[in-house]
Amino acid sequence: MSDVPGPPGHTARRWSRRDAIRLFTVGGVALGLAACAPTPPRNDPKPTTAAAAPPTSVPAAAPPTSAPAAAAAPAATAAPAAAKPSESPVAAAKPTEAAKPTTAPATVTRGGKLVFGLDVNPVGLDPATTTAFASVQIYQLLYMSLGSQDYATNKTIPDLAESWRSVDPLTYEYKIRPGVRFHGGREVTSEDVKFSLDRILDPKTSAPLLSYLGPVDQIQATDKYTVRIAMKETFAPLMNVLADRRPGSIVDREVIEKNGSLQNWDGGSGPFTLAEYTPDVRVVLERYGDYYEAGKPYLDQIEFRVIPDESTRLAAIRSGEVDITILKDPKIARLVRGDPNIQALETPSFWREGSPYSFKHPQLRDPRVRQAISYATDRQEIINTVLLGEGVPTGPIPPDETEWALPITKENFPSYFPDLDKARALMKEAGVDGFKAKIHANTSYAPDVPTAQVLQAQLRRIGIELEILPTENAAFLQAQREGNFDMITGFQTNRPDPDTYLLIADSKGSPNYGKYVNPKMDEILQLGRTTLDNIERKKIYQDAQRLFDTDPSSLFLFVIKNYTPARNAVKGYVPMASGYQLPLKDTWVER
Amino acid sequence: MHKIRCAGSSYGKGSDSVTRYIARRVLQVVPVVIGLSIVVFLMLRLIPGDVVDVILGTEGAASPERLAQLRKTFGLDRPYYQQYLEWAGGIMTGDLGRSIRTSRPILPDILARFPVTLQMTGLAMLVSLLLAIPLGVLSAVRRYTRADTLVRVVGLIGLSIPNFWLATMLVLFVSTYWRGVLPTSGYVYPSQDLFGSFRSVLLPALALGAANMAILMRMTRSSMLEVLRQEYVTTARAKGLVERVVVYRHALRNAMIPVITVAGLQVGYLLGGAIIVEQIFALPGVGTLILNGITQRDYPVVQAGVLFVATSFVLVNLAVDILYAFLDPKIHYG
Repeated sequence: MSDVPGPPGHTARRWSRRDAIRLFTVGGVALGLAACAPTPPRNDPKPTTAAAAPPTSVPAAAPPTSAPAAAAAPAATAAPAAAKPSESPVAAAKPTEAAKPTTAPATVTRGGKLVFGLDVNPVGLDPATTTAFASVQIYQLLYMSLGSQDYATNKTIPDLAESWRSVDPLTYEYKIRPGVRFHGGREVTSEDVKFSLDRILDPKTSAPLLSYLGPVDQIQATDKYTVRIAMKETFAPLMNVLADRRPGSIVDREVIEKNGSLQNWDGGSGPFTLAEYTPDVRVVLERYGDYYEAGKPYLDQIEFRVIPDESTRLAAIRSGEVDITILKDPKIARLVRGDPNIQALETPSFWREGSPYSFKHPQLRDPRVRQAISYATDRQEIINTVLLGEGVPTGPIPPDETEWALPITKENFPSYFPDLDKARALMKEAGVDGFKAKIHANTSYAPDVPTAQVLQAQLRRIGIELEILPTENAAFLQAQREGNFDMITGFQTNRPDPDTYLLIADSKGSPNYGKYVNPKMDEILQLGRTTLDNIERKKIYQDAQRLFDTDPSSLFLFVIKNYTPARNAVKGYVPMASGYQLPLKDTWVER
Repeated sequence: MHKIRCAGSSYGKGSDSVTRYIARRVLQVVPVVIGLSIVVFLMLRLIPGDVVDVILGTEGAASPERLAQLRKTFGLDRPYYQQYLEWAGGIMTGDLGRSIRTSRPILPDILARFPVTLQMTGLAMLVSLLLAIPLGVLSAVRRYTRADTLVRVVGLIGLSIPNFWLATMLVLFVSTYWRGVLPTSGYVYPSQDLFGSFRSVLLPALALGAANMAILMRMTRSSMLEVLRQEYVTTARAKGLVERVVVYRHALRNAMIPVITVAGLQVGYLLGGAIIVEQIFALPGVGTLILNGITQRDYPVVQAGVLFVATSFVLVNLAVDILYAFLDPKIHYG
């Protein structure tokens, strides 16, 4: 366009400047009003195409169950019986701890609303396809699975299944609790269990945790309340896996058939129903009146409010805008401890910081070098520097998986106790004079880069030069999957079974990112998978964990804490090491 | 952006030339938007990381067959040009596609979120103009006085403070000392509570608008100083007009021309800044949608979001170009 002034004397314009200014003023005001006009883009989970269709069958319209109390009664009493091994020839894959009768404390206040400050936006609510943690935290309150987890011990307890046994080493039988109803009102039967698990197994579903179900051959609904799962080979982790809501949620076929998926829908039978799902804003759950445990849940409503910024969540819990929230950074979590209005609820978590070694790296292939690195690493120093002392050293299985973890002692894990002389001797023995390696640090988690920095300083003492590559989460995950790294610092958790934890060292395990190979390890892990007796299994996994000391696939450092500060009005909530929010079922508020 | 002193005499005059000018400027938007869509599409695919990795997380079993199958499900296995053409074709028919992660259709989400961003950036712009213009004028008229120094120092501070830091400080300060005075997170829709909605975007608007205010204030000051030196101002004074009239009626309007141009360009920075400010104040705007889309590598969401914001920016500048030309009596269209 030209930049030449107009011809002199040019005045014949019908649009005056004043008109234009008026036009823009009016336009601006109109635009402003338009901006203020929208109705909330609330997604009362309705399909976007069929606007009038209700989200799921509306809970309020659900026919009352004939006897919720009757259904609940066996929940409390029948569960211990379920824990007994069956009469089958092999020891049953039994629940390790019975569901405790959850009698309400005398002082419980029913009703009310709780606001939960969530750190990450849930990307969808379909248990089969979504393993993002924020999503899991919400949908585990919408659904039931065959088993669930004890809040304190994390052991598998009955949920939808009252009991289970192994009929023979290749066949498992589950007895479904009668009288449990989907939020739509239909009774949950063995056919629904079959449908839900078949859906995970169907490659078209693209379930990320498909492999957790192992070598399932066939699922049969033998009668209304009995399901049999036939395996191609013995698979001991099955019950723990089915007690995990991600692969194990039992879903309402009708809701899926109507809506295509459960990403924005509720097809569960759990303690809460989905009332609103507005991405990036909130997810609102409402009490399911026909939940099988009479009287539960106590809360009428839970609002999960999405607040991505850590400081803002701190501000929200301080000011009372939220009742409970999640904090990640120990430096920030410390700030709520002195607040008289807040209970600083904390627990060591299952989130394990560590680094697999890449077997592509010439020096890292040598087990003596990897052992030397472990001896040269001062885990406590890292914890003190990076987490202000708020972490716990961990082995391959986090210490709070009390049933399976081998305690960190000098006998079990000698290389976890720093010894520079030993480290140097091992390097010398391996004929390595020092080398360079790249360490990818995930920038999406606050402790990862500082951890790499401390590690860099520590390994320099034995001649290893680490080059730190701070990497954004998605790029980090890609580098990890493709094995394009020498070492990494990143968080990982591999619930729910020792087998899923230790798959990182299985030569065929998909999370074995460094391509570690140790035939002895493979042998032990295979034995663990096919041994049904829990006591025997425990010994097997202890052997496996010891092997991580002499021939480590990864450098395990620490587990962080889960911080879930709550206002004093919140009662009955217990933080779980898994970070799961199942205890919200037993939480109430006293305003 | 185009400079706007577009003038000439080869075309018609009056409203006809205005119409031609507007038509031409609108047509110019088309190649800009097409170019934008190609850049956005390619850039997203050039950054490392893949939606499939994010879906599988650290636990998901990532055998090559599973990865290939997931990619196929999302249509990511096809050549780029095919993916682009299909996406662009969809846009032509008003279909922005569906999110890979949430399977939600994207257009309704953007339409629902854009007003939130617009409300915040609009308020930020309004607050900064309301403060910047009087302060800038004051600073120019009282040049080298204490008031001028103070205004300039405040301006410098405003320019130097990054909005994310200011946002965090505001959140912590308000939640610690002014509990309950203003909400520090979340958004209230105007349909639910008009005043509450204003309150919910006030802090974010202040955080976002601070730097903008400083820029506009400095612009107003320097522009006023320049105008006040001009002969017609001396003439106005000489014919005995009151100083207030000289400053506000004669000088200020001319001084506003560069200020408005800069304000228009600043809209782009406000929209960019909105991404981080929305995140801190937990506002469900387009910025949050785009940011989450990037971390999830949800290509269709980011493509649509960026294209939408960029197009708005182009349109705002088009509007500013036209407004600017109207303000300046020396400018003509051709």
